[in-house]
Amino acid sequence: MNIQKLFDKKFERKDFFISIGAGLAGLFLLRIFPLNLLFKSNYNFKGNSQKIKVRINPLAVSRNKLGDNNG
Amino acid sequence: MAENFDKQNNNGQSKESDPNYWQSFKELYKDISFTEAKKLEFQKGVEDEFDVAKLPGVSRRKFLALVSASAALAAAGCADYNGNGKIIPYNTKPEEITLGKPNYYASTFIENGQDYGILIKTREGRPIKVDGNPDHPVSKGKTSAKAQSAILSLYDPERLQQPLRKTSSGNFMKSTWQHIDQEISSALAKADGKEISIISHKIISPTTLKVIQDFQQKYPGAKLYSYELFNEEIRNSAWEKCYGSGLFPSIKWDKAKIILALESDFLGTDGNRVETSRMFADNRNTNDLDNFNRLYSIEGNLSLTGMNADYRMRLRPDLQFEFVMSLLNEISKQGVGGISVDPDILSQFNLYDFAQKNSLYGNVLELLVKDLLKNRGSAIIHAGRTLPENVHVAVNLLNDALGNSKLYNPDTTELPDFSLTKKEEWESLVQSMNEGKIGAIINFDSNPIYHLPPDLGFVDAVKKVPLVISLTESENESSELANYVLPISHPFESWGDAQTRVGYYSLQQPVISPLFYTRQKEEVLLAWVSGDYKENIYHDYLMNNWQSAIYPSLNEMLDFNRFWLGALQRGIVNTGSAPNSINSFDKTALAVLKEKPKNISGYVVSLKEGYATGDGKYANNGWLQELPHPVTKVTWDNYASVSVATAKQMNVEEKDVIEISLGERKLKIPVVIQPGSADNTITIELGYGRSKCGVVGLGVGFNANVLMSKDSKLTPWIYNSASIKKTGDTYDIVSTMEHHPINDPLVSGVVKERKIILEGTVFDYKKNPKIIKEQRLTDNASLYDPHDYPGVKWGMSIDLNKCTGCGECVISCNAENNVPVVGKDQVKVSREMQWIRIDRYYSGSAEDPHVSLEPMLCQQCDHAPCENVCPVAATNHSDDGLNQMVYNRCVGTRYCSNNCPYKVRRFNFFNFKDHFRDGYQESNLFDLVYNPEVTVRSRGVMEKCTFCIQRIMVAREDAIREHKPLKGSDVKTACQEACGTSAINFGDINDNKSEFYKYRNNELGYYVLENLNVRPNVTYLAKLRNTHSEEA
Repeated sequence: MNIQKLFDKKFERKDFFISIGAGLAGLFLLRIFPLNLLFKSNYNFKGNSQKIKVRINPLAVSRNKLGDNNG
Repeated sequence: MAENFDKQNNNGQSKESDPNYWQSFKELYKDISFTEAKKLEFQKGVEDEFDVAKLPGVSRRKFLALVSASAALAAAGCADYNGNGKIIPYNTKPEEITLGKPNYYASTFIENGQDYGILIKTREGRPIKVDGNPDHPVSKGKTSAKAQSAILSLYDPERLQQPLRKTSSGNFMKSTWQHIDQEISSALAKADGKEISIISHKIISPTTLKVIQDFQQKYPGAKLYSYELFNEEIRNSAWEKCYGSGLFPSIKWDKAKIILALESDFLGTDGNRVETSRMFADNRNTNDLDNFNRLYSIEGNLSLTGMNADYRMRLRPDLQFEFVMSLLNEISKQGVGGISVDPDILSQFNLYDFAQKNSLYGNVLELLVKDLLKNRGSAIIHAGRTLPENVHVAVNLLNDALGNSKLYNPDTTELPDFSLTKKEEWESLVQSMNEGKIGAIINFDSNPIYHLPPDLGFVDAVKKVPLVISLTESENESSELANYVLPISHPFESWGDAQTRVGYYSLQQPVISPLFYTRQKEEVLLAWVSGDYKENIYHDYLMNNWQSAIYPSLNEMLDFNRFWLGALQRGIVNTGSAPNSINSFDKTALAVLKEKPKNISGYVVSLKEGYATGDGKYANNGWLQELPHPVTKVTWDNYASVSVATAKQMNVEEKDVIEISLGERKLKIPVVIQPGSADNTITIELGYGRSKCGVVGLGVGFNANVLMSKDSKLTPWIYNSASIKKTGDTYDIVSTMEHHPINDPLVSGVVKERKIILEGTVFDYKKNPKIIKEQRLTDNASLYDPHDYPGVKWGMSIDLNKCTGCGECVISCNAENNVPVVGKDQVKVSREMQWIRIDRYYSGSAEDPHVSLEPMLCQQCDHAPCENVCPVAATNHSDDGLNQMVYNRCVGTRYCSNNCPYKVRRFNFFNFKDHFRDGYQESNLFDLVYNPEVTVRSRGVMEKCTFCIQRIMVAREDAIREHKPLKGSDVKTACQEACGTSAINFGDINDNKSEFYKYRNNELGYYVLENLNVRPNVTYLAKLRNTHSEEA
């Protein structure tokens, strides 16, 4: 169907609420549905929100510059 | 006899003056699909048609509604975006750290039994880049691609983060070190006098060996087994037979005028390639043509070394013994003494009969013999580590007879691989495991189930051992069968020392505290020995060992603590000790040279170390997996490499899957037809086909380790009498070889006609130093007025005589410039993102091609065609001659890429950080790998080489602070720093007193596609092949 015709179609108040309701219900179901079961991979790197602490080792000895061994 | 050879038809070397360059068979044979592809800037499907007339009309109101809805959705969707963390300043700033300034730590990287001195750059405490340690006597400021890529492994989100214990149901459960220590200590104590087998890679650390000795004292049943998938054991064993000492000397490659490499990839994988590449390139200096080396290579498959050879011939590896014996006989016939092989045997080998039988070029062999005789004492013959012992003994004899022992360097003798466990001991271990005599197995950072030959029966036997402990950084095939999987720290989080040569020790220090709940492997054993784990337990142990065992022998003036701090800072300690000189040749070694010539036929399988993945340890490293193979340019796979004739004989085409059978051992693997491969030789690289590893390397390629046998007749890497069956299946192999071709319908030989490659010979260049200049198309008109660059103007020169095509610059650039990994599916559609690529061109025939290499990166043209077409001025020119890229301004039209004649611009078709492997690069941990000085680009943005603008800015800042003018030599680009052969030079084009200026204005210098007159700022120094004058 031509997209213009779709936009021009009169949208009833009742239909509007039904659509919104169905959409919200759909979103709710999507949130609780274990979507990852549908996909091959079970990896979730993006969800890996573990806090990483970066600490230097105080016993290591650094140099200031590349190629310079601080005398 | 040699005179009978038809030199016209058998010289194998096409004339340099008229080469036909080609990159693939499709190009060579003018395949219609390749010709069509050349007409397209981007591959089919990448560009969708965009016809405005066909778009539906949308009213103003609807348009605004859609925009509002999109904005609302975008706002909602981005509210919780990954990486919206807060930047908080230090409450108490560590003394060493200055915000925005890097720190460098000297350390050691151990790879395949070799140690490389490295400097690790850290920013605010996190390691971000690895370079070579200039103080290290072997590395001398250079390092390997694997060492550079280790940064990525440090931040691998799939590293094991805490100890795991297998439950009775067979699942792994998280545990604590305290519980694990208690359980394992008590289990080891109950071993009832049974053996505790520690399986390790080759240990080159004296202190780690001491830890194991302490462990053996506490648990007297403990025994150490060690292996390396690829090792120098055969070379060392032959050396011991010949010279009575297992101390194999290093070779003075930089003094060798003639090098004969027999199945030896000394520039690629054999030995310490960082050292050999550097020394080899030292003698490819166009300013010192009298000492310019000449490399002959005789090998089964085109290797990195073979690509760089002046003369190359193909020979199946199981015929190398016959070849060396024939060469010995010929040299002996020329009156060289000291070849005390039984004359009855030696006389059966004839060099020119052998050549005729095996399609070698008689005239080239004649030249080789002449060269070896003429350069006695300054030539070296090097046999590959995969060849049998008798070849090595024959080669040692040949070098000895020709007086080439002068090129052995006893001052830097390599320590031998004798500590590796012998086959009989492995068999006995497996038998003991089956008989229940083994109480425990400790996989000490090793993966024996993947590495050991399957017919050893190790997999079944290990299931009968009651206690199996795997100490590993991430899960692997062996940890799957373990009762306990103990996470060990990354080398950059660990202390250590190493000794691979007489005369010095390397030190390893942690540049970051462990990111996870891990311990380094030595700490794990020490905790079981002492029964009590303390923080820094191994650091204290290492210091004590050095203080008591090593420091007293050094005659140091400083007290130990000051010495120790200095040693850590340098990363290296010279002991000053050197072994005695090399003994005289022991003729009893020649007893192994009794084999007579054989009729060898059928297929031979040759197994090689993977250039990228090594023995498989680096399989989960995306930078290495995506690095194009130096020869075939294949990424993300291994394959069976065969010659054109062999493919025809097997009735297979590229990408067909074949089944290789060696008795009961079988492997299905796709075929790649490799120009320059010996007939009936199937070459496969190992290190692929991992069944248990992280998501990056899982299932990538094929596990050819299954073809290895404990009872190999020749060597563990060469098997003849293989049978081949075509399976009828095909497999998609992805190569970057045909990416970015130039469409020039008016010119057939585009590479030659458009002067993409210029090259010559040493002989011709000596005769006429203007030989390259005369070929250049310099008389070009310009639409533009000349622009003045009064200050510093940046430029680069690449010496193609030194470039070996190894790809270390590519990895270095990836790390420096936050270049993402895109995956095989994206490489397939030419969307790889690497800013530098090594173009590899063949010329000559498909059977015996010449190879020309040309690293290609943004040429920073003065008249940059990309700048003219950018509608938003996102790419423009700086006043120091750089073609800049403003990411925030780029709207992604890709016009610039279309207009770039060098095809060096890369477009982010996706947010690759998110797109690759389920957002692998989106992990929090991955954020730590990024260089904070370089923007991480997102979808829809064009990018390209910037000449490391961030490094230029740092140098400029330093110059301003120190009130001195900025000099070209103040800046080193990442690729330049990583280049093992110093082929890349960078500097100020306007500084006529600089070293760089000489390179830039060298007589051999040329620009690629010079007739376009875009005035590139990258100069290439034309390759000179050191062939003989009669060939030229």
